[in-house]
Amino acid sequence: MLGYIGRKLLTAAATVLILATLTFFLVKLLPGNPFLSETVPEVIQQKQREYYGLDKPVYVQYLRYMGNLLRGDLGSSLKKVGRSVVGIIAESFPVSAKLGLISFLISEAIGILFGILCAQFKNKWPDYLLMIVVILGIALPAMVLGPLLRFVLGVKLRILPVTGWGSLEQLVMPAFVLGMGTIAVTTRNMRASMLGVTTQDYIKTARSKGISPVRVVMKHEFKNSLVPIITNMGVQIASVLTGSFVVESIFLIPGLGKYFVDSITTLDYTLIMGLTIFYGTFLVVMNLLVDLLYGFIDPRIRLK
Amino acid sequence: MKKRCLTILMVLALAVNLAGAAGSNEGVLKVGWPYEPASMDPHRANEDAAYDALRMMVEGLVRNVDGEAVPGIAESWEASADNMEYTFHLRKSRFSDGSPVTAKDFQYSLFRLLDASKAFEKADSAFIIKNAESYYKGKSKAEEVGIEVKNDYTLKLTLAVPTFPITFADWPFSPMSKAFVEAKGAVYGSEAANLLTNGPFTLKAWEHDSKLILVKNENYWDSRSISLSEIDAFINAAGDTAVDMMLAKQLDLVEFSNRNQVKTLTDKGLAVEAYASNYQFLHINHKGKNEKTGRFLSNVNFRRALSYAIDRQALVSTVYTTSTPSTRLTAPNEQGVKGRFDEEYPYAGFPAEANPAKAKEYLAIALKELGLSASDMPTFTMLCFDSQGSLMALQAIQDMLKKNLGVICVIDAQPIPSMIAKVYASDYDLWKGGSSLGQVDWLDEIAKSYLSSAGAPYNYKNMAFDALYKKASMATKWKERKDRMFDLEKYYCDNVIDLLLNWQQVFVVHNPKLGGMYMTTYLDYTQASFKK
Repeated sequence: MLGYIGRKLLTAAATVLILATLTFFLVKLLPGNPFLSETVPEVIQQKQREYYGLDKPVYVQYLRYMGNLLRGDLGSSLKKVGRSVVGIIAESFPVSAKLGLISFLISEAIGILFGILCAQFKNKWPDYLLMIVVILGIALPAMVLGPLLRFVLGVKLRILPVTGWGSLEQLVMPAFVLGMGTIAVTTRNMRASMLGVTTQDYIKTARSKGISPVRVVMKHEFKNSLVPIITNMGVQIASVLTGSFVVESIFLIPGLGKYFVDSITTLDYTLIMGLTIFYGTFLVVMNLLVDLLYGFIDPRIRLK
Repeated sequence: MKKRCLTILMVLALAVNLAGAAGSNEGVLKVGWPYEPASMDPHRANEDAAYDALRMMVEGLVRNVDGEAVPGIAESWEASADNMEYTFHLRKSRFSDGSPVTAKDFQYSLFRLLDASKAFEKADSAFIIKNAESYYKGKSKAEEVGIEVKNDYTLKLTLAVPTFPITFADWPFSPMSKAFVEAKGAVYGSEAANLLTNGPFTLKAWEHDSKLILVKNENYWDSRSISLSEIDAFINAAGDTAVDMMLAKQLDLVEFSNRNQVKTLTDKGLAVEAYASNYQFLHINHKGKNEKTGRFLSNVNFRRALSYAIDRQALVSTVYTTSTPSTRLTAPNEQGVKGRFDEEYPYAGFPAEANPAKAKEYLAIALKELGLSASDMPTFTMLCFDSQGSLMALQAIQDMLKKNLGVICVIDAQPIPSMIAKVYASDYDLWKGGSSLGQVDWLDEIAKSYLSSAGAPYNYKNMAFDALYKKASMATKWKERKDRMFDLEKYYCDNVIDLLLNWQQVFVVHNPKLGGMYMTTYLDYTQASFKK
């Protein structure tokens, strides 16, 4: 087990370093630079490039960046002057993570429950009804659902605040909008997985032995259906925890999502690099946790 | 008994009223801003969000009140006859932490700005001072720069060009506390705790990407004239999000540029006012993307043909629905001698509507001058930012030029950094761009980009234009400046040095109880108050 974890960690570290290198050079290939401006004179733009070391050869910039990275220093934002990349992430990631985690947990629970119900009532009206809900969840993008809910619940009915962050009430609408996609995907996956398990011989044996249907579902079918769900969890959780630009913009949530987009449109090199490395590392760690979770769920999966 | 009950009821009613008044927050203005300032350091501020904040927190030598220069930290000043020397007499005022503001704080601020090793975006604002630019480039010493502290409350500035008092309202001409700024170092202006200002408001809290809270600065020298106790600025509150926030009474004021959004709010009883905030151009690269297109674009009659082929009124009716068509270089609310420039110097330099017959006439003259025929016309490249609005505008213009003139254009839509890179590499023929209306006037903000020495992005070289520009910029009297600007404007329009399309308006939608704001080329609500 320890050897397995060790190998995984080494692979993760190598992945992150390769990611950092690729991102660094890809960003440098983009036309322009962060200080190109219609209004700032060229003599000042030149001074700005010198100040941030962008006048040095690319390989020098790369070596300096990687040296700092190995010391845990992601540098300072080029556009949000005086703020470190680590500071920006430290401030905004907890916001996105809180919203994402709450949304994810609730959505996964609902999705799993819906999936079980759909499988148990296959081709009956509960199955059809829940699948309609699921399709709506996939079909309605956040940029439609969000403003709609905001207007109805916030402006017209005044039962929830329109925007903002900090209170439980302000969490309801964004968590719901963010989670709709997860509910939809998890329901479909759980339904398909359970239907596959239901036809297995050991399930037929359990039923024929007179074990109650509820016990068969919860103890045998449910656990054995979870592997595909967990496979998806790693990627899903990384995606929701690191922020949704659309949901955060609609509800004015000061999360990480907006920085992903802003950093690219403003060519804030250090912030692009920092966010990419952070996201990549996060994804790798989540996948590692998922791998570990497999072993817990299904002892047949050897981790040695 | 009856009288006693009545008395008790009256006392209760009064108490409820007082409680209501005490609990009400009518001294708190809630505004929506479309994005967050990158920095509150006045020497780094280079975008509207920072300007809006600094306007309320920082006060320079003079104040710009509705286009007029009035005393700020300088309670009086003397200017030389040629407006190239100013002696400012400072009033006794304080920073928000109570420490005194002196002439040395202005001197420190200006030299900090001119420190090339710090690469401040706004450094060129101080180049109007004698030897400032050469100091910045390392060619002059500090003693040679025209900044002199006579005593604690007297500052003398010797300038490189005639300058009018309103220029000193710009925040680079604001004081900074050396001790505070140097203690903060590179993080000055990045957080509320890293900022020290001297204006009507001070930054109490800055929740990044969420909210800024400004509170009345009790140490401000004119704090009695400030009615608001607090301004809460909600970041990213724009568009439909801001509409919903206004409807839910979460905001008192937001600026919009979409008529439908404005109508949604005014239909619900909110007030609206408008002002022109920026120019929209179809910039011309006089060198052309290549030699073929350059031959045409450098021909004045071809440019006149383009101008008459574009229907500015139609653009405004269909695409830029919150704008007015530009018929000259000076925007409607720009300052004249005493009032509005457009009223004191009436003129129409560009046609509001297309005139295809005239366009074809000028094209024929241009082709004859170039010794070419219509079939020799190349395809022109129109560059723009990859946004729906820009694309719609260029598609409309593309259609107009083809129908009215037979000129074929292709559209090159790019993300902003790529677009600017192409602009500075002169990799375009026509470029859809905009420019904010300046604090003073367009002479320094826009006209100097067309000087022969400027080069990219417009690559316009014309000695006659240079001479007119120099004459206007060296005017020592305000009326003289405006008269000469008019001459320059007529030359600009007649020669179609660039294609001005429209002046974009901004609609200020606000709580109808809010008054005391003024709008020239920007919105200022420092003096705003809620009517009782």
